[in-house]
Amino acid sequence: MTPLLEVDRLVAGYGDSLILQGVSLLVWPQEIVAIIGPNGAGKSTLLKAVFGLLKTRQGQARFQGRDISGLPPERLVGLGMSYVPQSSNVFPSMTVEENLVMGGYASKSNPAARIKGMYDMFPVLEANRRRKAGRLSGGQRQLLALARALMLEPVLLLLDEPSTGLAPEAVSTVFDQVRRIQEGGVSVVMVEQNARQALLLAQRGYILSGGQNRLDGPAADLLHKPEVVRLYLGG
Amino acid sequence: MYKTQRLPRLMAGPRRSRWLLAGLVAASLGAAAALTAPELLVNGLLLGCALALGAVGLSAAYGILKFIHLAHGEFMTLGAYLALFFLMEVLPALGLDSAGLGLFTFGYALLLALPAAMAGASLAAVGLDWAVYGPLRRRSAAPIVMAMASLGVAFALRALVQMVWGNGIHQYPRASREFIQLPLDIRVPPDYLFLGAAAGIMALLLQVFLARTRIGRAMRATADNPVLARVSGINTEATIRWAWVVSAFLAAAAGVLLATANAQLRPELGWNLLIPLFAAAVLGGMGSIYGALTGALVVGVAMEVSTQWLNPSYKSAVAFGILLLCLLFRPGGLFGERE
Repeated sequence: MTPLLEVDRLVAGYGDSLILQGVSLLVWPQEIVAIIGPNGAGKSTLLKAVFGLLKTRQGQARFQGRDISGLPPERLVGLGMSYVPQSSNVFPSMTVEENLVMGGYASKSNPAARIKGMYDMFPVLEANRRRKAGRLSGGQRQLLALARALMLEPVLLLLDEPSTGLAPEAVSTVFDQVRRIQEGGVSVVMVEQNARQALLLAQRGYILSGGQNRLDGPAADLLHKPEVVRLYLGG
Repeated sequence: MYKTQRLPRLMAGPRRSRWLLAGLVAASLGAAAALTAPELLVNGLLLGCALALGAVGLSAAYGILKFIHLAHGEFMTLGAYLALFFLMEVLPALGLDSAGLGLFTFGYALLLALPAAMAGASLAAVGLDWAVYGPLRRRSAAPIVMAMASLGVAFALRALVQMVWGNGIHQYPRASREFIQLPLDIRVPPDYLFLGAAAGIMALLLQVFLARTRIGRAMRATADNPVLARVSGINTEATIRWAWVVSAFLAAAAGVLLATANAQLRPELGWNLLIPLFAAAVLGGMGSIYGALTGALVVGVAMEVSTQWLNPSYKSAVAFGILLLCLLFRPGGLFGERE
């Protein structure tokens, strides 16, 4: 079996500062991978570099066996990959429905059926379909961000800190949805500050620090490793 | 790490509570105007329509390109002179010269020259993006560098107009027509009514374009959140070219309509309107289209009504005063959020 996503010693950053100093990552079909680590470890940068929002200096990323290093995001969405940024992940002045239409922008086909599917999955979005996305609550906005990213039926979803700024109940709603998305056959790579909850949801985890891989393995093992608990899970 | 973004939004409508404020301002202005000078009020509204076409383009360019486009007035000038070229050189050669269509001073030739000039100005705008703004953007030039480049473009475009058409005053072919008598003893030049109607139709078409078409939606999405637009598969470079097309299209229309309504055309047409355009755009909240429409009507009325008490050559100063007050007290515009 070939991995869905294979990141091989990736080096990337902003200007002269190289935040990622050779990070590697494997994602298999239909699994949730959690990426955790302290602030500034390069977790979000990794997702941005994979999705073509940052220039990669060295190393390679392969998606379904195909080299995608250097491809811009507008090309990647057509390949079956989708990305949800951490904040500002909806179009605030557009309605909920228009946000979904924009999610399906890269496909020429009529998005109506797919939008219907999203409303079945997220009834709260249908109830608010004519509202401006900027007026939704934090949790609703995060669900809209997920739905927007799912409009093109990706096989791989990259999520940057989906729990940021959410109340605890909203976090569990969002995490429940992530599990349902995985059950639908999608692999999810999730960067999270909320390390313990993310590892409970994921099958495997990677710990980054200082722009390098520290540890990886089955999520259940990481949750019980004493050094992980002490350093990254807050005792 | 991240701040909540308060990006200008192309279609962000005024908040309901803001309507109250805007309504109060408009009502007091309107009342003062209606009592003292109803004729100036009507003329101001109609002139405001022309300003609106320019201000909408300026605001949209800011929303999508994130820099102050100082050559926007020159798109108006260029459009007006292109129409002159069609009216004086091209259409007569085809046997299409006319003046005095119905109530109006101009002939149906203008109805052909107007879209031709709009298309010409749009081509020029795309050319400028290719030659100047695009290369700067790909080098990630700062907004101030882009603004200064656009100032250079403004001077160059005006010099070009002066080289080709000279420094003097031109006029479109026209026939003389009576003013139109409205109730309350208001007299309006007939071309002003055409200006108002044409601007209104274009504003409606713009609304439909932004709300219903694929490109229009991509423009709004790019103005809202450029990164998310790319992540959704929108080619932002192509979207930016379309933004130039639309904003130059509207600016050229404003230029032609103003040159028609004012019965004269000079190379300084657009440059002199830059302050009123900015006043309108800032008043409505830079980047907001509905805001720019409303702002332009307010500025147009204020400029015209001021001539009741002030020498008409101070009209620009009135616009500048509005701009100044707005920047001091409500930098986000009448409908904007307070920073």
